Amino acid sequence: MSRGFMVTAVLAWLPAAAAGVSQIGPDLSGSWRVSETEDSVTPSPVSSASDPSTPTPPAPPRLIALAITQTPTELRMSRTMRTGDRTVLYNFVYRLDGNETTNQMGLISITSRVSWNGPKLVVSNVYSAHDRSLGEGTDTYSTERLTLIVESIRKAPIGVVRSRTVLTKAP
Amino acid sequence: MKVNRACPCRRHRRLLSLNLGPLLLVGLVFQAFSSSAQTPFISRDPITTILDAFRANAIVAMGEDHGNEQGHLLRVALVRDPRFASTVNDIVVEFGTASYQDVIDRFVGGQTVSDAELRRVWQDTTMPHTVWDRPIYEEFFRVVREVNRSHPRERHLRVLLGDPPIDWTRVRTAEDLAAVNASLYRARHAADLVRTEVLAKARRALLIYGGAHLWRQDLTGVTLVEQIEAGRQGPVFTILTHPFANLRAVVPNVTSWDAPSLTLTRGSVLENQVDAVLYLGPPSAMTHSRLSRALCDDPDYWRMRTQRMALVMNDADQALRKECGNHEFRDVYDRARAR
Repeated sequence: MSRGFMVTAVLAWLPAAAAGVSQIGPDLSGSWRVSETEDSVTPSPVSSASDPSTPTPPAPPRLIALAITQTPTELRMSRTMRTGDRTVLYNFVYRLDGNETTNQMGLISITSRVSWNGPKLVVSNVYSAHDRSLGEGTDTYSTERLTLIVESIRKAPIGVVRSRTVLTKAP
Repeated sequence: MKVNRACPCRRHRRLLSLNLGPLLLVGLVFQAFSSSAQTPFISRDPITTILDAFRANAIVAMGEDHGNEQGHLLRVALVRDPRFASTVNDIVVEFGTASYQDVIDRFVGGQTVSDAELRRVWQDTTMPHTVWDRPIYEEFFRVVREVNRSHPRERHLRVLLGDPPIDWTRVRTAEDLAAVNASLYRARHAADLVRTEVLAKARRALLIYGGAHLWRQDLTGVTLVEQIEAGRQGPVFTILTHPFANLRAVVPNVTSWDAPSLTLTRGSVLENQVDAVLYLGPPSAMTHSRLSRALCDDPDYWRMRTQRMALVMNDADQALRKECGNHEFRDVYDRARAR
């Protein structure tokens, strides 16, 4: 390998290094469609002792599809969700250099940091609305061939909500 | 002093002798892409930006954090700006009932309207509680009247009352009330009003509504803005206030911004939900309008308001007493305005 080529490679790599690139995990890029979802709720002591006449909250919105674009420094996700007969689209950005980002789904603001746990991407979220805390949670992303698995744990007033969503890569 | 111009390092000379121009270019382009998250979302003057937005949009919708005085002061400054009346025809507000459109037409048109008649505009909306009884809402109507006084009739601003009509003499139960103050019904009424009174007449309007009515892509249902845009008669330019729409989703260093300022969301994760975010200052600096002493001392008001509040809460008397119990914020606000 010539010295000139080495210099080229170093110079091209330098700005990326300065930007704090820390990608270690796999590339999650692609269009993914949900093939199955499982939810479970462990009610908190407060919610189980609450007034039984309190109406049950409406079913949470469902993820339908996820489009991911991954670069060395950031991860962009477009989430297509359904609530009742309504389909909505939310765009998220996460920094892969350890810096925090804030995204928003209507009234809900989500502040996140991401890290790699081996081949798994872990997104730690703090939820708020109008600067009032709504709880926290983590989403863990892992891939197996053409499958993306998202395991979520959310601590909410109703208790701890766990979900596991399996998505299949669109051709 | 002798300056040694020779490079002390042989390796540096060797590097410089290489043709590195194209390589540096590659590096810079790569860096530009890797910092795409740092798109310059600049702080803009809100009034100029709002007026500019009317060039491409018939409707500019401003989110109103109910009772927030900093937002009110900005809206007053906007309406008083000499460019406003030559740009905008109508102001559509959530804080007035369509039952009294004729009253507000006469009032902002400069005619004599008694205080008792005028206050029914905001006291008799479908909202059973005190939200519009705070003095900033009455003050807004008075500012429009004052601005109109300085313009010929053809340039008068019209205020359109967006809350659907309600006959409180027929409302006896919470169910009676729910039939007319459901969010979807209220939004449908306001959207129809905008379509018939603004868009169909090729006019321009400033829409002032609670932020929840202005989101696009809202999980809770079709909002007012989405209902207006479904008619395809012209897009709405939407502005929500931080932290209702979190400015940190657009630019991370919020604390260094002057207040008030505004930024466009184009190119950010918020762009399909709202067009601009308004920054009025940190949450700790926000103040809220309080009911006036005179209103709290008025037994007729007390009776009317607690009867309506009782439709939706258990201890209406206690709740109103609590709202009337604190006036020091009012004094702080008055002093700030006097300065």
